[in-house]
Order: sequence, then structure tokens, then C-alpha cells
Amino acid sequence: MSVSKRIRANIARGSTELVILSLLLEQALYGFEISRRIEERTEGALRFELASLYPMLYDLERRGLIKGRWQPSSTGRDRRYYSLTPKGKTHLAPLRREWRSFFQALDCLAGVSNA
Amino acid sequence: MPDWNALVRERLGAVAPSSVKKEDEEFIAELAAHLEDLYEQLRGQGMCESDAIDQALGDVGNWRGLAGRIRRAKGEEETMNSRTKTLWLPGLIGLTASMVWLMILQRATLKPSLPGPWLHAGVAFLPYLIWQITQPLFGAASAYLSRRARAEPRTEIAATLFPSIVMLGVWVVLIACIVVTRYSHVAHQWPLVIAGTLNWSILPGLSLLLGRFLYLKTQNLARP
Repeated sequence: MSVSKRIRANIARGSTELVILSLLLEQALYGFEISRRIEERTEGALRFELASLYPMLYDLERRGLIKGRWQPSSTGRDRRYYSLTPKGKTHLAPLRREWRSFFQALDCLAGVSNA
Repeated sequence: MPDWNALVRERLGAVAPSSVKKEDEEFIAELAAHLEDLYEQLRGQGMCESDAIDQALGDVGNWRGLAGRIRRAKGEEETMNSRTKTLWLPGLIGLTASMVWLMILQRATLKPSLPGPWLHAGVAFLPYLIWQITQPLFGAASAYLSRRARAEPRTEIAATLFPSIVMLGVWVVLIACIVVTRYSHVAHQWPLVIAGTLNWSILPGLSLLLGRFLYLKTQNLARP
């Protein structure tokens, strides 16, 4: 993998992690709800495909940042709801700071916010 | 309403029938639930049933890739381990088996009493011919091992071609040595070098690919 590809992959991975953890900080959600909320809130600018979403959810769960639990949804069907663990909450704060610094740095260099 | 669990299991089974494990059941159920929600959303938007099913299933894209990524994400396989299972192991098994087979053929067939044509132009023609004819078996075996480990198609092809890639590397080194050490005789060496590359790398590579092709064909025929 080339350096630029690796950087892009890391950015994509890091941003996905941030988005999912931030959503789960508000409330427990299941996979489909997570992808729908992301699409709605970003007005379609961000769309997580199923093939990216679930590997990320399982990775976060394996690292102990989120926890999945089957429970009935509003429709009465069982869905696997993910919630943030205390470790996930601790992980999210510095992650947000890092991304803020990253965007500030980008803004200084490329004037992203004025584009 | 379609049976989403069955549809997901069927597709994962089609990718690798022998590798759908019990541990996958939870993932299958979760994926089925996701597709069910997506299907209902599409139906709510006025899409007809068959189109909604197709689009929901199409949202997964590469089933083989998804299964592998989930496995890795769940920590059942490390990336390195996955690469070893899908590429290095099938490739090395193919290479070793192919070379051992060549050695056996040479020992069994190369006798001083062998008629002239079988030792044509100083090449051990008889063992080479048998070896070349049997290469598709090794290609099929490597493809099978790689596929069983849920390799992506390009990894599967690389594992299949592994013996001829190694041989090509050997010939590249050989060519470099000839150019460096016998520069003045290079013009005389080229036909031999080209013939060697063709006989030991290109043709075996094509035979290995033929083996993979035949293996895939039998897999498709066996599928209901």
C-alpha cells in the first residue's frame, strides 16, 4: 500500500470510529439505525456501506469500546443494540481533540473552512 | 417477506460452503436484520418486492470480502494470519508439491537407456512433459486451499501462480547473472534464456491457471 493510500485509509478508519462512537454516546443504536442516522445527519454526504460498518462495529467491540446486546426494537423484532462502554467514553474525548486539531491544522494550511 | 437469514446463509455458503461456522450465526442474524430493515425502507419508498430484495442484497457487494473482514475485525484472524492462509500457505504448498513431483519424475524416468527423442536438445523432455501436463492439478490444489481460506480472487490467482512467479524470479536472476558475467556472449545466450523462461515459468503458469479455471468450473457445476 502506498503512503498516500495508507494515510487515506487511516483517515477513513479514524473518522468512522469517531462518527460511530459519537453517535453511540447519545444513545444505544443498532447497525441499520447507525447507518441511517449518519446519512440523515450529514444530508447524504456520508454513507456507510454495510461492508464497512459491521467490520468496524465488531472491531470496536473487540477493543472493548462498545458493547452489543440483542434486544427488541420499536418494531418488536430483535436487533443488536450497541452502546458505549466506559472505556469507549474515555477513548472518545482525546479522539475528538485529535480530530479538532487535525481540522484546525488543515484549515491553517489549506483554508478548508473558507473554501 | 423473504427469509433473510436463509438468503444471507445461502450467499455466504455460496462463497465458501465449508467455511460457514457456528460462530458466524450471530453475524448472519445481524446482517439479515440489517437487510430486512433496508428492504422495508425500500418497499416504503414504493419499490417493488423483487427490486427491493436485489438492491438490499446488492448493498453487501463482495460477500467473500465482507466475511473475511468480519472475521478479522472479530479477532478470529490477524491480518498476517489471513495473508498466510490465503496466499503464502497455498502458494508454498503448490510450489513444494510441484518441485517434489518434478524431482520424482526425473529420478523415475531419466535412464541412460532412454531413447534419444526423450532427451531432446539436452532437455529432460519426458519428465518435463509429464510435469507440464500435471501442472493444472497443482494449480487447482492451490486455488482450492486459497479459496477455502476465503481469499479475494486476486489473492487466489497469486497463490495459484506462485510456483511460476518464483520460477520467473529465478530466471530474472539468471538473466542478470548472464548479462553481468558473460556480456560478450549474451547474443548467443538469449534464445536459451527465452526458451527457459517460457518452459519453466510462462507455460507452467498457464497450466496452473488452467487448473484453477477447471476447479472453479467444477465448483459451479456442483452448485445447485
